[in-house]
Amino acid sequence: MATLEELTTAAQTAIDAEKTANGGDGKWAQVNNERREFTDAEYDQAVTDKANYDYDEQENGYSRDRQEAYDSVVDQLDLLYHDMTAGKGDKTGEWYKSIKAVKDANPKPE
Amino acid sequence: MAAGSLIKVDEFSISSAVSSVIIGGGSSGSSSENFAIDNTYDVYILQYHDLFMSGDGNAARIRFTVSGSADTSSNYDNARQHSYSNQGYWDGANQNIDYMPNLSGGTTSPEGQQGVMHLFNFSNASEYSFATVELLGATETPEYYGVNGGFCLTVAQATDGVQFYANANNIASGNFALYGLSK
Repeated sequence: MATLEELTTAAQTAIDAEKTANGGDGKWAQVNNERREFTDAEYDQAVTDKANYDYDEQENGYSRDRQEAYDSVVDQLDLLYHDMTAGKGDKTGEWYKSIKAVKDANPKPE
Repeated sequence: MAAGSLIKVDEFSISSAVSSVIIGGGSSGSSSENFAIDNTYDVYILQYHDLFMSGDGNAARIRFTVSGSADTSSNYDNARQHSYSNQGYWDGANQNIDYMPNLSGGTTSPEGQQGVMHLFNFSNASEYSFATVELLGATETPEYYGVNGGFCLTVAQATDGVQFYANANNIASGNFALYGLSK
């Protein structure tokens, strides 16, 4: 996995490419009823923000994706009830399979 | 003016996509109102609606401003509860990060977001700046969500506005209004 320093370097390249001086569409701020391109300081902050965002996504994105993909606790409890009723309180049960499917679809990065 | 009145002090609508906007913040604010949050009112209410991003899954993150510039220090704490139409709810919280999170939005109706924030202690240089937040929106699926929670910038300083900035790409459109709650 990339280090924060490596992602900062990549973010610098990506943000530099966005500048209109480099042929990009630019990043724009709305200040005092005027739309103007980011200042150097704002571009520097954009690099920091992008690097931190990319690092967080790399480290924690899978966890958030899993959190959003899991069924509600109520639905999971219902699955567990039916699994236990059917004598499938193990890896053959629907609850286990549903959890495993989410984890497999959103693997923890190595 | 009547006690308890809401007084509109700043207002701005995005007409061309931008990466950041500031509501309040004096001359650094996005409108031509040049209003900076001060002790004229004890509590301010920031309302926004129809906030759309230029990229699916992008989010308009939030920072408070000090003399018109976003405070980018890692001193933001928050706690939130998210409710979804498709999966119940989950909790979220962060300490010592350099922004206050917002949920991902979308680019077309009904994926917009609307919310209300109550801003406390902003003008008090001896206290932290606090905000409560209530918002609702829809993902691109669409799945509807609601969020309620609180933000805190844990620095005893005066803050004078709120910045929304895109975590990627731009904020395509949005309407913002800031009100003072008359003493």
